[in-house]
Amino acid sequence: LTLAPAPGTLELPNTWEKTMADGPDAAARARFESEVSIAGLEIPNEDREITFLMWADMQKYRDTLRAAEVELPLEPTFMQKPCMPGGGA
Amino acid sequence: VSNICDLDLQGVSEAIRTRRVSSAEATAAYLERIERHDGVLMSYLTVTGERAMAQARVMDAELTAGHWRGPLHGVPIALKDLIETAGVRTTGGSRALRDNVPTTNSPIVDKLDAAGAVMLGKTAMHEFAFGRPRANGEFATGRNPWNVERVTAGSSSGSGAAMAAGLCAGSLGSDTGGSIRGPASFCGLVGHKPSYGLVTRRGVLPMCWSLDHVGPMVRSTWDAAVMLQAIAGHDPGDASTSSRAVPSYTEGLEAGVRGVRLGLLRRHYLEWPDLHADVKSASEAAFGELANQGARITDVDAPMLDQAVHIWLPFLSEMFDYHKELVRERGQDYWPSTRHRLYMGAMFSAADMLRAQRLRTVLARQVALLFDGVDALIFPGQAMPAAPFGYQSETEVIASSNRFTAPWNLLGLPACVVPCGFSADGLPVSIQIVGRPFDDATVLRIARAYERACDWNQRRPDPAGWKL
Repeated sequence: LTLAPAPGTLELPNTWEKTMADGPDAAARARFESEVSIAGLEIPNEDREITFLMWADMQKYRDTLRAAEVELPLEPTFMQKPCMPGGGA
Repeated sequence: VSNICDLDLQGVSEAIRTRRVSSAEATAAYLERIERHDGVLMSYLTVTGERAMAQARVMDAELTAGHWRGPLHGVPIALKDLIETAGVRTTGGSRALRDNVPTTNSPIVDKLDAAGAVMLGKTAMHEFAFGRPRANGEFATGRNPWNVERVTAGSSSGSGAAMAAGLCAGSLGSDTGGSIRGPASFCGLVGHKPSYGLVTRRGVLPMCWSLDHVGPMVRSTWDAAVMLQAIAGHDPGDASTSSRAVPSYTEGLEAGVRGVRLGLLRRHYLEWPDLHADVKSASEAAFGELANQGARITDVDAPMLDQAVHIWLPFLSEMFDYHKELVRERGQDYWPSTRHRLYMGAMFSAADMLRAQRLRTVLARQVALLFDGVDALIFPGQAMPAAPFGYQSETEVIASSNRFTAPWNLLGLPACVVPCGFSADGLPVSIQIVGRPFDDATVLRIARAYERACDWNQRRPDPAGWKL
């Protein structure tokens, strides 16, 4: 029996449900666990709390990124490099 | 030659060329100094003494026969330990690759060999170029020769420490978000992140391959120009390298800045509230010196710079992609702080990465518009002088340091830090110069114009302070 959800699902690991429900930061922990699950990460228990704290600290950067206005008509390019015509600045 | 190790690369090169000292004597002097001081400074992970002496003797024999390969002939240098060296372990600063001995050289090593450089060894670094500084123990990352209780910054920490302490005549680092320019700034060196595509990344352990750059960390701009010249150029094995001709980086180095148009990114950098007062005052004085020499300085701005650190972060997913198998197999051999950062790299979504790509394009366009009116951009090299070990949290490190350096990795532009003074407590500070794509020569020329007007790069940390 494995308690971990399959990678790519939004199902939360059962082992963390109680912690998430009880803590004052339950919503954040739930979101963290879902993202861990989606990423297919296997985070050892000894790393879990500090990884959560780092992740929580990182949210302000991600939120800013997601809130940034993009008024760009063109699609982004993955391959364009400064060494290519039109690449970089 | 009183103390070869106090010279810059140019001085060492000239002493060898004119046969005031042999390459073997110079190499022996560096090896002796490493033996004497590196127990405290922890700047090398591997010292290749026998190999270095053998290389040096070959270079001396060639010189005796009348063959001089060029300015790196017989000059002892050090390489960051993520550049693969055949037969010499390449660890990436990690226990996970403790016994990794490549069978082939990075083309960078082959080029340096061809130029006649003598490899003293492999320098310490933050684990896989994104770990935290470590003051002690196996895979310690190096102590700052200007104050051994301070970090060197990273991730090319050992290259910075070794270079500043005179434990090599030249060094190479790599830079994904500031890993050349941070340590160069904290250690009082010239650090040059070349244009993306100018120097191959093949045979270099990647952090984020679309942002990684290899470049020199040295005592002067001439030294940087010479080392860059040796490693630049197209590599058929690295599709990201450019096939354009590589110009001479020393030829116009002394041309000065009269009439050169410099854009000062005042709002984003100089007026940033967290900028250390000593960095600010030293930078303003340096910009004043450039103006005195005839540069035309105007304030410029690119609002998207405010987003640059946010744009940079999702690229950490490249880092996770490279490590995902190794960390699964040998996760316990990574330092915990490195594992935690790796996990962050896995947790950016495709939407985050796409958004970052789009915003990067906006940033590139804004900066390109600036270059319509100026020849280069100028601003302080780092937010602060070297901090004590353990001073900053994970995200503070990213936010303050990367603000000054990471945007220029995103854009692949040439960026050079050059010392511009010292803080009140005796730690080096720097300015940074950023140029157009592949205009590394102009960047180095501007850095040289400032450098020759002052003596910051002539100062040396006192070995008497290298004790715990």
